[in-house]
Amino acid sequence: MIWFLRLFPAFMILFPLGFTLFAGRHPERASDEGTQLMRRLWSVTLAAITIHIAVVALTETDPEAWRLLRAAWPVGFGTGSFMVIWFGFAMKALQARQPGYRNLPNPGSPEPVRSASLTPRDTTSPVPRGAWFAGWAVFGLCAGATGWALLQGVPSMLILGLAFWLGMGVFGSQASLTEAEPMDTAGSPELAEAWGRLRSFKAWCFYGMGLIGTIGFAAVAVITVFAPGVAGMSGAIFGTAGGIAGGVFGTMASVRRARVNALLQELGTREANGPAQTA
Amino acid sequence: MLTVRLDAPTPLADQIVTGIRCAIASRELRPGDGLPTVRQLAADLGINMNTVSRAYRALEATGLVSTVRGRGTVVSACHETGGRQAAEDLDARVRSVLSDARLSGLDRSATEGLVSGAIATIWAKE
Repeated sequence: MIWFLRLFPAFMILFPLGFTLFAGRHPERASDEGTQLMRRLWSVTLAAITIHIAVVALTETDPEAWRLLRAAWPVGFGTGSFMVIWFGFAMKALQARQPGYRNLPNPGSPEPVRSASLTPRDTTSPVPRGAWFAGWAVFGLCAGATGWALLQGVPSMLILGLAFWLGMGVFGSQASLTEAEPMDTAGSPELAEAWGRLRSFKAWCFYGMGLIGTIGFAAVAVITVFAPGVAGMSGAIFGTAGGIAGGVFGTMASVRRARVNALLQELGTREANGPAQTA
Repeated sequence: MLTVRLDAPTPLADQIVTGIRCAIASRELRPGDGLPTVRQLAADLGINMNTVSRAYRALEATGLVSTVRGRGTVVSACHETGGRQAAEDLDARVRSVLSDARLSGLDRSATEGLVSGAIATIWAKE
């Protein structure tokens, strides 16, 4: 797992810069401060990756002397620096260069004209009834397996895995269905379709993450009973895979949300320019 | 779709009532169709739930919608009474609206455009 502890923090450090470069710069709506913010992002990323490389190199020379640093950096500060780089630098640069990544207008914003769909959404889920039935059946099996494993003496915290389905699968999915829908005053079908795609994606992802999370925890509980020697490794692999899957899901949802936001802004601009163009 | 203006002199609840009446009249909403929950509509419009709730109660009082257990608020069957009395009532209201239009400075062609647009919307789905 040493290779993993070297590469994963590096990936986490470089990801914000990579994503911001991938998102690009809007040719018209990028703000002037984007260049300066990108410079800061480059600087902090280079500094963090330099520290990471230095730590890896130094701990290679004398693993015993650098034991504490070797333990603390990869699992703590190295991956933790992602939060600082992403939220402190990359998000600002991203939003300055691509306004689509700014938050969707708050329905409570001072916009005087507000629109809403008259179609009930709370009860219209893209996840069909059969999938919910299967999800609850799998949850029942996982609950049985986890309960059995607990009786064999595995750590009781593994029961938290059942909360994945209940919290993320059921409530998370439901919450994504009831989120306020952004609409333009003309009721653009293009915007409604883009929002519908985002909503459907989120509902399915929450469903999938909840289900897989519960299955993973139940599997780790059962593995702990039959092969306690590999339980730690399997838990680490499952936890990392879950974290990466969550990151990918969040990033893809952000990209889709950015498309919706960009479309909303474009429609707003079009509407604002409409009368002027015809006059 | 329902659109409201926060800066309009008409109360928000009344705007919601008018919008939903218009959607029912234009067959955008048909008898048996469910309306969004009070929570959803309030969240989408970014307004207080009590305002939406008040609008729904007003619509229910007129008989245009009703509350069905397990389904929420649904559009009731249309009451197409028609008749002379209805025409007289409408005539008085149209005159009132047109007077408002002229008093607010709209000229004849602009008013005709607005009225034609409204008629086209409401009778779009015959």
